[in-house]
Amino acid sequence: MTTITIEENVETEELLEQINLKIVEKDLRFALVEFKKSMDVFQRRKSIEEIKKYYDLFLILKICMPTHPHRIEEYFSYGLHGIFFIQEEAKKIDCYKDTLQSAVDLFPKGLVFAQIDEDKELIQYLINLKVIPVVFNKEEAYLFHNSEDWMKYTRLFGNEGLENGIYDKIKMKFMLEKVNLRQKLMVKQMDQSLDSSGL
Amino acid sequence: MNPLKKQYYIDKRPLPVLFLIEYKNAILLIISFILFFVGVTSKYVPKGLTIEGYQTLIIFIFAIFLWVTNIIPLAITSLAVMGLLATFRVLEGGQIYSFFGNEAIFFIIGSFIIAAGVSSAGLNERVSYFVLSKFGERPQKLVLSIFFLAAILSHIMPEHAVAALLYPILTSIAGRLELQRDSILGKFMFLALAWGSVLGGVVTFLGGARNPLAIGILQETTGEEIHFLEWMKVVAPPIYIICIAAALYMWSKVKNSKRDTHQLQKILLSNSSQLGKIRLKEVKALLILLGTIYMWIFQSHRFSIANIALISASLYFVLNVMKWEEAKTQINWGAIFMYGGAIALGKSLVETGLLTYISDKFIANMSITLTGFIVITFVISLFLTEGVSNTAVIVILLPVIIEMAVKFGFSPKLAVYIVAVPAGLAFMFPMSSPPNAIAFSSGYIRSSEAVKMGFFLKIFSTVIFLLFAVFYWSFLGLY
Repeated sequence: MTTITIEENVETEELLEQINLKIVEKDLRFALVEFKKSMDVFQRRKSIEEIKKYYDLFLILKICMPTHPHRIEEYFSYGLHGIFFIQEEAKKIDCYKDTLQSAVDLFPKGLVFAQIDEDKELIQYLINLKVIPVVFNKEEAYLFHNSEDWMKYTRLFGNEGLENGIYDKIKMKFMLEKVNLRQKLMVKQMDQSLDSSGL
Repeated sequence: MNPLKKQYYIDKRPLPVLFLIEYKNAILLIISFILFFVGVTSKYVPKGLTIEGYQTLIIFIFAIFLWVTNIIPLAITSLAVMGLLATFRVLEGGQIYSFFGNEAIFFIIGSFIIAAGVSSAGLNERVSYFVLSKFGERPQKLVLSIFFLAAILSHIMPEHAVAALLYPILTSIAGRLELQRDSILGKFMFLALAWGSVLGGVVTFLGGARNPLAIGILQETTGEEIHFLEWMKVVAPPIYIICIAAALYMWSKVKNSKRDTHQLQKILLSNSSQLGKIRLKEVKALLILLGTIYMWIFQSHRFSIANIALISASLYFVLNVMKWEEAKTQINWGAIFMYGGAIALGKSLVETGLLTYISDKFIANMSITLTGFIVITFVISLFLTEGVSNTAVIVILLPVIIEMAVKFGFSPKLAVYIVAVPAGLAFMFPMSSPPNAIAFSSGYIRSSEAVKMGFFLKIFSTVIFLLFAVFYWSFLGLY
């Protein structure tokens, strides 16, 4: 998967051009997104909204495993479709069970990824949690996937598994909009909530 | 504070529940459209009813559903109703759209402009500061001056505009007095605002555009009219009695408040002095307003209230009190759209014979006393208005009640009073009327208390109106 790094105060046109070059022109359907630490929640949300306005892509947040599971709610509110946890050297991944569980509960099943070293036990552990292991061996990273239903999104990785026919395009669009709708329903603004109470 | 906590939260209820909440309006709309088209194209027409009458019935039910659920703006429902009436040729298209030419609509346009003129000149603001600084030195007097100020201003301005005008002044008073959310004074200051605006808005045609709408429906369906002074003679005495009772109740509640409000005079006077000396604009606005009220009360038989309203409205521009840019933002165009459709629907109910059919089928064999008729209608309208827009209550009930009144041999004017007056008396819920919503947004009024007090005020209003209906309205020759 290709990573897009979003800088603070980046111009929308510049950001869109970067995505166009790295993702769209290569006919990819997924993009890993990472933010510069200095960006606040609103800037992050805004940049994701802009990308979604122009491109039909699965946007996956690339981030280190947070120590507190509550941070996952903040990540979810950015409007991204999934989350990709980068491997932590200091701690073992099973120390983060609550965080992983929280991510699986919030993000759609099949769009939570965790980077690990090749370890059969660990792979099984993540699969049991419904987290997709992204395994690193000496040469390259590869995505673990099998025929389980909740791993349906992994079939859209790369461009080899998909034809560019109208049926595939509709299918991809349908899957994406389903995730977008889920996002829209779950992320609520305080102001809207107060307005809807009639006060 | 974490900005996320302040701005966003994640709703973790099951997705089907969230979907239903988010899209309930769209789902209701689709279902209602399907049912409407199934109904309107059905071959089954009740015996004795014309096809146009049947189609009007279906459009009427559809419109009631949309007005009650409020899933699309009320004004848009009205425009859709006109489109449907014309499409199904219930009445001729030209005739349907001509209801926008009804006198009531032009009166409403004129009165919106007059209210905008008073507000643009700053006259209402100056009067508010003057009254509150003059009489607000003790908690009880402060609450009563808010109540009567709101009530009196609602005689000459739309009630929601009065509430919106006084709300920031009251919020600043509450802030300066450092009133807590559970403060008795805070609660009754804002209740006084809501109750005063609502009660005052019933007394004339200017407080709420629903009153002229009711007159418009009366004109279109029976050809009869109610004049400005005639309305006030019938409605003002019972409303003033209710106002006095409400004022006494608030006085008794607020007298326990030990809050020192002496400092208010200084604050309000300093705010008032920021308005500067009285400007020529304000004098002109006041003179036009007084002249208009005089003409409405004493000359409306000769000139009609709509003509007077339009000429007065134009005087605000001729005498340079305000500019069109200021006026157009303060005119409630939605209300005007709504009234055109409402009057068209009312007329269609009569013209297609639907009301005669309903009356022959369901009302002719009923026997009801005058008192029973007044009480039942009054109570239905009084409680319906808590859940449905005040105007929608009139559109839904009035044509049927006028038909019933005629059938029972009562005056159709009586029907107007017993539907339109209670339709304005919404005290219980924030969504019942704009002044309530504004007052509730202060945070000083708890819903449970407002429902309880509003309910008793409604029961009291019913008793007072019944007494006046029996002993006073007959004296006026209303029946």
